Amino acid sequence: MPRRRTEVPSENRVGRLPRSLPGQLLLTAALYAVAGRIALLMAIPPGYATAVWPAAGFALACVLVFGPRVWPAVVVGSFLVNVWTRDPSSGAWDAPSVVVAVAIGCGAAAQAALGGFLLRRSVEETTPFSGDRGVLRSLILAGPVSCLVSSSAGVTTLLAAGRIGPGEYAQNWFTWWVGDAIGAIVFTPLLLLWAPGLRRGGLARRLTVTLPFLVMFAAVTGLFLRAQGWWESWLILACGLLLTGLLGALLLVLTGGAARFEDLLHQRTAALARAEERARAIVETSHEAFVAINAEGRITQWNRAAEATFGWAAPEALGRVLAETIVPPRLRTAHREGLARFLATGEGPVVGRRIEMEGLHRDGREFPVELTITALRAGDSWVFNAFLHDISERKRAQRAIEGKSAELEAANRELEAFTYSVSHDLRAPLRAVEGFASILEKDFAPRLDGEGLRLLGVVRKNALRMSALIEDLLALSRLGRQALELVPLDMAALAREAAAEATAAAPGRPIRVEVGDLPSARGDRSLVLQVWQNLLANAVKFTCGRDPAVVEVTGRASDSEVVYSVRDNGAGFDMRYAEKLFGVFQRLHTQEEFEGTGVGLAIVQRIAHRHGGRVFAEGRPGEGATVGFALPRGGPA
Amino acid sequence: MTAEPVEILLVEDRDEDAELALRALRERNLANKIVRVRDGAEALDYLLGAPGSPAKGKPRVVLLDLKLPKVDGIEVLRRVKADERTRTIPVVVLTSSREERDLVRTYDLGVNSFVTKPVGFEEFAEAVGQLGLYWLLLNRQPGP
Repeated sequence: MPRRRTEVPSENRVGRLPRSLPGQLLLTAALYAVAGRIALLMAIPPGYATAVWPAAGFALACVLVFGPRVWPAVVVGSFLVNVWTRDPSSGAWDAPSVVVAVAIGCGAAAQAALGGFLLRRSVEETTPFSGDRGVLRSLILAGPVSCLVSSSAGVTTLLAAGRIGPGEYAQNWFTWWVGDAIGAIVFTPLLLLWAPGLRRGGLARRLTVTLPFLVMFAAVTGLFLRAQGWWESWLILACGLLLTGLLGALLLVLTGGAARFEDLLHQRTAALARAEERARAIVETSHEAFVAINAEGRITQWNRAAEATFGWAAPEALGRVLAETIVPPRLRTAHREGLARFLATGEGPVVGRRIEMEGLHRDGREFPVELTITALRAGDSWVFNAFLHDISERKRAQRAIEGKSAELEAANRELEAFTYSVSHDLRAPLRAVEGFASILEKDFAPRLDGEGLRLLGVVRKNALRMSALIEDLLALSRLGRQALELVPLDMAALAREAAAEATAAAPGRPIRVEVGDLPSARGDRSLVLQVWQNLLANAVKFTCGRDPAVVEVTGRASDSEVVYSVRDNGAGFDMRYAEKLFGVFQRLHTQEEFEGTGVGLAIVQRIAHRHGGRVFAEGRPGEGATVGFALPRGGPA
Repeated sequence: MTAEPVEILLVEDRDEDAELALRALRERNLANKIVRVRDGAEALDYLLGAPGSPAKGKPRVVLLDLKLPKVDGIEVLRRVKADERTRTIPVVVLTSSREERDLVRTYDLGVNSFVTKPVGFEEFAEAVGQLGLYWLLLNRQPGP
């Protein structure tokens, strides 16, 4: 059963209905028994049935209010009526009597349950008769329709128990049915109308419906008491109460519209109050400071975060002029002018945008805040809402980052200047050393002996070697500064080009280079070519003395990267030193074994990293090496 | 007969480099009509004339170092290429630097060739000799 009604604000409640099942059962049974007892006082002899049975209305009302689960109480109530009104002269209180009483009770309970079911299903109102809709249909379902149950069950039971003869069946059934139907028609709406806690219109409506009801009912009852004979009594009761029911229906419909409207109004008001409460709670508990001002610039809302941010408690802040509370003095004029301009033109540079400005704490401290202001029309004036937060921390971090960037930039410039000067100034003396040694060698050869010439050779060789080191270092430093120009690359073509260069540098050596199918990649052409040049030059260099030297270039693509390897059958290396392989000036062989500057693989690694890739190497001394690199698929992120 | 016209102006501040360059040119028999100046200011005085004195000569090719005292090579190049009288003289920039910005700047200014001086003397002699010869041949002026 819907419990929505219990949410109605308490000021609208007249009293309380029991909420626990035992209380509801007790109330239902008692109402039924009392109503039944009173009704039987008016029973029209000689039948068992009475011409009006309000208990049927009470039972239905209880089912509608409490739910179908109270049906056992109806059985008990009905049973009690039978016990209570039993004429001691009519025979022994034996088992068959109990069975008959229980069966009649079950009929009454089934009827109330059916009535409740039909009404709930067919009427859209939360509680039947609470509005103006479906009143007539509700009355028909509650009365003539559902009351077919109890009369049929009861009279059939009596017939089966031998209390009435077959000839009396029709008349008893009819009386029973009419009595129940009228009881339900009259008393179900009345009870629902007055049931405490169920609001269906104000007192005015209740009285408008109830007073005519009761007057009619009293009149009918009065007439009935004076009536002479069976037929007259029956006619007065039946017609009178039917009229009462119709009058009630009319009144219910007339007043129901207003009641429904009022009901809806209450519901909406309550919903609105809840929504407002929620909105207030959201604003109040927000981590963003919330401040609202009116057109005069006075603070009208001030949440907890605003208290924490600006140091003013809400009661102090409310009503204060915003400009004098959180705006630094030097910005106040601009604030007032902006507000005035907005009120005059409906436009303002700060409204509706995210802005940063200085805020003022109560203790006089100024700090940066980020805020958004929205303007809302309030009648013919405006309110301004602002969400804001302290961004001191962010500003500090930003300044720190800016400082670091500047430092970094300066360091970069310094490095560049350094590189430039290395490039110029370090090479000049070297050129002189080599140049003059060369001239000496050429012009003074006749005056030098073999050892003298050898020593000059050493001087020249080392000058050239130093030059190579400088060149490589400069190349390495250029790699960090040069912007990548990404294009799709035919890796097999690049590898073949580099292989041709490398083998050309070692003429006469038996070298076999096999370049397999290589997946393409995205990268900077000249840089990736440098990678291949270094890898293949290394492979050629370290296979010196092998016959034949075999260099295999392979590639494969995985989900995330393309991987390329150059494998040779050369000198190899000890895996313990694999990490050193890619370091600058790190060499695993002596200059006598293999010449080199120790920069080549550092260049390879730098280029791979700049493309978002990686390098790897594997080898064993004397058994060759595999050195390779991987690039992210689709190019650097 | 007046003095033979100067064919090559060598602008080089380092004596050692100048000596090597001269030697390289001499090995190619190009050294007989060479004038060497030591900085950018001297080079400009020679080519464009100092205040109060006219230009000293019009070489057939200028070998210009970039890093020079007083007025640097880039500035010399700019002024030479901006002047009507000297605009057509081929200028070969000789430098230790392979730095890209030098390269781009000198090409922007209309340099005719750009040679990075290698450390190895043989390569150096080769490069200087080749270029000197190339530009001398290309810029051969009709004899007097």
